[in-house]
Amino acid sequence: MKDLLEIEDLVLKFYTYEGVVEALDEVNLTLKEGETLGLVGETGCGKSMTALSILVLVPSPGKIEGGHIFIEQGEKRLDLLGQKEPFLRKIRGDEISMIFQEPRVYLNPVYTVLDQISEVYMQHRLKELCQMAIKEIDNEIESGKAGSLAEFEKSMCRELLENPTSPMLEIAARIPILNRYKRRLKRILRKEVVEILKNMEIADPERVVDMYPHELSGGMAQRVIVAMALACNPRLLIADEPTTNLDVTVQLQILNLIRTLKKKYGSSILYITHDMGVVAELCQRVAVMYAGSVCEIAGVMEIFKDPLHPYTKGLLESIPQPGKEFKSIEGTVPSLINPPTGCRFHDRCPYALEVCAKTKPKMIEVKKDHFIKCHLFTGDQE
Amino acid sequence: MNTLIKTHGLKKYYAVTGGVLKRKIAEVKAVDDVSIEIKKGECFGLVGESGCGKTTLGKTIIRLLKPNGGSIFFDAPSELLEEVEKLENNDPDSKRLKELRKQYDLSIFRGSKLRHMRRKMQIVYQDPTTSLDPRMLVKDTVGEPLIVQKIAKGAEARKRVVEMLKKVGLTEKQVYRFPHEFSGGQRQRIAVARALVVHPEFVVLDEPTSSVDVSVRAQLLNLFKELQKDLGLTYLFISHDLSIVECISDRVAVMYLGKIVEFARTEELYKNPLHPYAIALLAAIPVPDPTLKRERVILTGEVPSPINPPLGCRFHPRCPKVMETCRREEPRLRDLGNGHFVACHLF
Repeated sequence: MKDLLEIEDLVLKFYTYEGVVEALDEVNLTLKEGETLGLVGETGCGKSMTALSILVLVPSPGKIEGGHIFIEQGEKRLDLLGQKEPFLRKIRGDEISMIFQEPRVYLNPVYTVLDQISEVYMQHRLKELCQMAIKEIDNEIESGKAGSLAEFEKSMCRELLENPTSPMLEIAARIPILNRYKRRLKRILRKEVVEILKNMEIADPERVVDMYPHELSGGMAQRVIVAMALACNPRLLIADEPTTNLDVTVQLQILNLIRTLKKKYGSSILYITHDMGVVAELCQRVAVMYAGSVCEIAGVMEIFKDPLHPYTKGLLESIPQPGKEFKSIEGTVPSLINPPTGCRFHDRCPYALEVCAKTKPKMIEVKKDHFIKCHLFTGDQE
Repeated sequence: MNTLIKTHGLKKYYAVTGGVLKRKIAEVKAVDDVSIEIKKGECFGLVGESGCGKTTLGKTIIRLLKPNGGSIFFDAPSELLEEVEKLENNDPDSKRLKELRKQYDLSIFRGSKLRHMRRKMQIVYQDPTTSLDPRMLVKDTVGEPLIVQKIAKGAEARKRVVEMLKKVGLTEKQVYRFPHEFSGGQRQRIAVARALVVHPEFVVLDEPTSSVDVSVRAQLLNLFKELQKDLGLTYLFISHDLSIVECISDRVAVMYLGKIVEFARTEELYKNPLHPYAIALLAAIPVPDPTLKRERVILTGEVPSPINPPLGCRFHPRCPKVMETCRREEPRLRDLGNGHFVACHLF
């Protein structure tokens, strides 16, 4: 399999009044084509920031200070960092799209579902829409059903296709008889949106399309968000804890939906979660993050059967199991303003060596496809 | 084991008002006819999806909400409970029953009598960031119940506060701090200390671990277990995370749309769930084991609105094993032996 996305030594810092928050510290991650990669970790360990960095949408006062994010584009590899904003706009939502944690927050309360999903199409699929409209008009002319303004309408669609900012369109859009082309586009859009909502297994999409976000239940709102993300058939889908606020039964529905859609659309998925159960069900590979860096990457079977990094071990042990004592990792997640020197886990690690407090471990491959960042396995014991 | 709390036909309806005169136009039946028995010293788990009335039930039992019907007996002698049950079934209007209820029924207590009872029961809320006053020092937050209940003041109160904080794993130095200076797990510890400082017998834990991380969650659960052993507490553990409830509870009740649909001992319920809803709910837990492939029932749709619950069995529109009777008749909780109760027409 080819690598679709490659993150190399990504460093992200937030400059706040309290000090510099070292949110991401040399994150290394690769995502292969067609796979589902789980990104696991506790709150504040930088999972979401990694996701936002991929879209180059880091909120201020955050600054990406180093590293590369390569995305495969045909034969070339393209570094997303350092690209201009208009280019990034084309990528976002089209090639890479994202599902957020709280669907209610990310839906605009004053627009209907139709408006919000069509926005994605208008941004990225305007050409296809215009061509569809032209085809429809041609069909009407052929069958003789077309009105007297059909030719004009067609020319407007062509204009929109070739030069969307032309003054002619501006004028025509304001005159009731002449802005017919707009209504035709809306009709086509509606059909497309209903179709995609149907794919999201929403019951009665014709009705849901005209609803406002407050009328939707949590599960439905999440499906609408998924629909929006998949509208343009992206190559990479980033799902940032999409089921954390949902009930278990609804969570299962959404997970199944994501699984079937993945087969259908063939997207790669970066699935961010803190629930190891969800990882076991959905992902092929897992990356474990702690305090701003990825500490272990391996296949899902490998991680659960043979976790190597002390943090991964602790994380797996802290899953409650009936009849056993609750185990937990001692201490708390360190503040990222003054992170521990050396390995960031060393002050909570039961196996910490002297070297751990001094130097940062490097990412090494201990077994095939099993990467780990820990001094216990690098051999520099002194 | 003795019974600590027994509810009978407990109801809590919220009025939906509308129009200019704010008249009642509908009712949300958040808790509808719930009868449960919590034994002394046990941890009683309550699970269900959001909006099914778990929290309302917890709050109603400790009388933070006034029930619209039914009775709650707190720490009444067992002979009396038997007598009450007999009277309620045979002669619901008798004088003796009224007398007994006046003496023991928490649902009709008022004023100082209720305040006196509140000392015995406390609650820990879901999110400590909102349940702790951001402008109160830890010592004031934790010490307030002592003052309200007129248990201790001044130096004595402070001594008790420090003692309690140490018990929940905080230090004496931290009493002069504000909640924002603590991490999520520590905040929840403060909330626990506040609940336990008056030495209650019964504590409602309303999703106490849902706002903290996995590694901290285990620490908190250990704390709850330790405190229960040390102080002889009885818990009502409300959660939507079924795997935690499995680990901490002795008995579990499954709630759906304001009704208890099944309850049994924990091992019994998790090994052998009978109600179709309980089966689906348990099957929906993601298991952290990638080798496991399961056949499971996936529920379609979502929880219906409790304003207009479906007729008959409330679960019938989503039930995979629905029958004709389910649409008409509401099933009652039936004892299938071995302390396993199910409300379903299949049994």
